[in-house]
Amino acid sequence: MRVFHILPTLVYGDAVSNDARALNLILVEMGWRSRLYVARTIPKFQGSLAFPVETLPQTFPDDVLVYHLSTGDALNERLITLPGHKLIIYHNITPPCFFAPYNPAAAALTQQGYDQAAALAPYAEYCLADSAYNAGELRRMGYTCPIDVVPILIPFEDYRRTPDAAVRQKYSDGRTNLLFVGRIAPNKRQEDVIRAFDCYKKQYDATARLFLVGSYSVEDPYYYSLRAYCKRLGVQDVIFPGHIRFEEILAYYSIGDAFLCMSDHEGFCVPLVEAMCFGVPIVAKNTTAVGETMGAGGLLLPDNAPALAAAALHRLLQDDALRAQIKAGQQRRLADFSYERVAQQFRESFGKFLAQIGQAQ
Amino acid sequence: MESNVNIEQVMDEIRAQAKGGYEPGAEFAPTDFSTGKKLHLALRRVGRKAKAVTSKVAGKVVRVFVAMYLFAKNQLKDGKNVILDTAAKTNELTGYVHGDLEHRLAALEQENAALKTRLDELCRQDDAHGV
Repeated sequence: MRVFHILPTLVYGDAVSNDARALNLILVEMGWRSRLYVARTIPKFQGSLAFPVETLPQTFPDDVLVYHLSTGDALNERLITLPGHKLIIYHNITPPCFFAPYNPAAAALTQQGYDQAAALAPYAEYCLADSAYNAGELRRMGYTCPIDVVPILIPFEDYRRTPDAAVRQKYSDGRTNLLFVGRIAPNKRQEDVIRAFDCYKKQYDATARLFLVGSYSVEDPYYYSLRAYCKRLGVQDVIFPGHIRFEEILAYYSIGDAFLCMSDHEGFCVPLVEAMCFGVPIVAKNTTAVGETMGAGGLLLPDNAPALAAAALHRLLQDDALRAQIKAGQQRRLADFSYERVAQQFRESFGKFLAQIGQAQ
Repeated sequence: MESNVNIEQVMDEIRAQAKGGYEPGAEFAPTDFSTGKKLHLALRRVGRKAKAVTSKVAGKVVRVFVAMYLFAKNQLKDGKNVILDTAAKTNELTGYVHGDLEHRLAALEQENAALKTRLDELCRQDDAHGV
């Protein structure tokens, strides 16, 4: 029996890529000669960490194929045709409805992802899902195999790097720094973050700033719409740092007074864990996987009402006892995501999968 | 030491505080790119330096895009500016000139009567506002 670890894209800094790299190391530590096969990667990884999927050897029915599913891709269909026991790791697919008004190509790609994910269901013998929400989504798509919830592996050691000094110096001036981190995308509802910030600034703290940290394309109509919305609201101090270095992202977390997440759809939401890692208290709308990832690490909102979000931010920033309790809750939740704990969960699930297909570890 | 705050009670107090508070006046809506913005983005996509400048025609601001070396090399020499005016909603270029920016903006308004007429038409339209 051999193990082949396959995913469409492996890049630097992406959560799915980080998870694939970490899980592959664990498989190797477990004694399997596992290799990552990818359709696309960056030159740095090519040939050393990842190999073109075209070079995937002929697989046989007793081989194991570990596959990361997160978007529409031709590989999703090819996987069906490959002989071998299939373990699917589901990271969620953003529903196409979010992209439809802005980016028809992205909407088509994610719709393709859902269609392909449903088509894969009869072939999956075991699944891992980042969250209970993702597990539920797999069930709704027709997956009847065992599904274990194993959180995404987060490289916490990276967060101990030194944050960018220039960013820290520029914004460590006593003004309130509110933060959201995540690519600029319609499902993240950055417009609701801006609305809440507008309320907060006008009602509680006129000097506050909002950092919407996340990459965007200037050609993206959603980004353009957000900028236009800021102008229409007349709200100042909304900063889009764009694509920045990892040390700069760390710097924004390090100067953040509160993290505001109004996202409508998250399969896990790594930035919530990152905020907790930096002890930044969170206010978040309770949707999809947001509540379960955050745990007691912040205040959960029932909806996107901007006045409510603003009042919650104000309370959080004024109430020392509340903040202390939330930070303690963050530490407890972070322990659930520690490398050791998640790695152990993965090893146990992989062992159960092997037992199910009749393979000894 | 961890405090013992009742989160449900806190949320009740937050809800009470939020009632009657400020609400943003404007609703969010997807904004389509103007013709000028589309051109700007098209220039960026092909790696051209581009920036918007404005010119007043008939008392209204018309935005004009300046790209470096947009057209084929046999038409322009390196480093020359190309001034592109865009017709709102049609995605068509209404004309171009090259050379010194200030001079050519003046040329847009004074030397090219046809273009001036077109710009005047655009300015009469509510949506002729560029980016």
